[in-house]
Amino acid sequence: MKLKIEQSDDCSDIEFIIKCKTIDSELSKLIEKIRLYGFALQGKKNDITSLISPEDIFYFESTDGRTYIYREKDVFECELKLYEIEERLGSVSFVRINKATILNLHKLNGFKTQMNGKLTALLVNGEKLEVNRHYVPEMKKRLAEMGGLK
Amino acid sequence: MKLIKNCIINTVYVFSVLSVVFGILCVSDILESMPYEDIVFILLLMSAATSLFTTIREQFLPISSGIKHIIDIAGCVIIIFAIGYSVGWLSFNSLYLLLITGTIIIVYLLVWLITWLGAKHDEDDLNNLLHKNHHN
Repeated sequence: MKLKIEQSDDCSDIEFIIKCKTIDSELSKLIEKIRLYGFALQGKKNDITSLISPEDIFYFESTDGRTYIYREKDVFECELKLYEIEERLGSVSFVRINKATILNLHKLNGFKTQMNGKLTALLVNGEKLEVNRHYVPEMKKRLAEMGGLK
Repeated sequence: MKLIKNCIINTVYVFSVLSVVFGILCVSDILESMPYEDIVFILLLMSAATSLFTTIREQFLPISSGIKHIIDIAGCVIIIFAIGYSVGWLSFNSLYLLLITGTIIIVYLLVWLITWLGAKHDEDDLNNLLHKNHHN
């Protein structure tokens, strides 16, 4: 693989050009990462709007018709609906784990089965989220696909 | 908090159903010898016991398939029969009650075991995939 970087004062915007014979799964993931470059979501907290990078987001949760962005220690309100977030970030490391939650798979520490047969996702910050088993096949597929992302 | 809320909702729900039963029983001869306060107390006891059963079932066996209704209805009928039997409203061989209760418990445990094993299988698969990702 050849990597060519051109740095110049004439460049007003960053431009990526990928030359390849076929797009394999690894390249496809790289393209997705590039697409996310510079992408940020607007989150509101105490009437202050901030731009939040998807990499910092642990999960999205919808409660009472409102969507919230959860970072490691703080929570922001988001104007987007959960399905809109899924459309924008669903192709990267974000996956729905129950009707009201979209999880960043990079923030995942493991899974644990509860005595009542429910599956729980354990996050790196110690939080626990309930996983609906209806979404497990998609999670397995996504985890299998993103082998080289971490 | 959710548990208490569900329990209260179930109690109200079951009590309204039992009130209909009470209305039917009132026109029969069975309850003539018993004070109304006692009857209401027994019906309340039946409501609370059945709602407690369904709440516990939902807590420990939160299945979404139709089998939960079979377990709930069977369990509630057994509870109503057991209370009705103990207060003298019903008379039958207690062995039948014991046998049916045992069957319900076995079905309950089997469904729980199947659900738990399924979740455990998913847990192992997901943890393996995650483990591979961590190593990559």
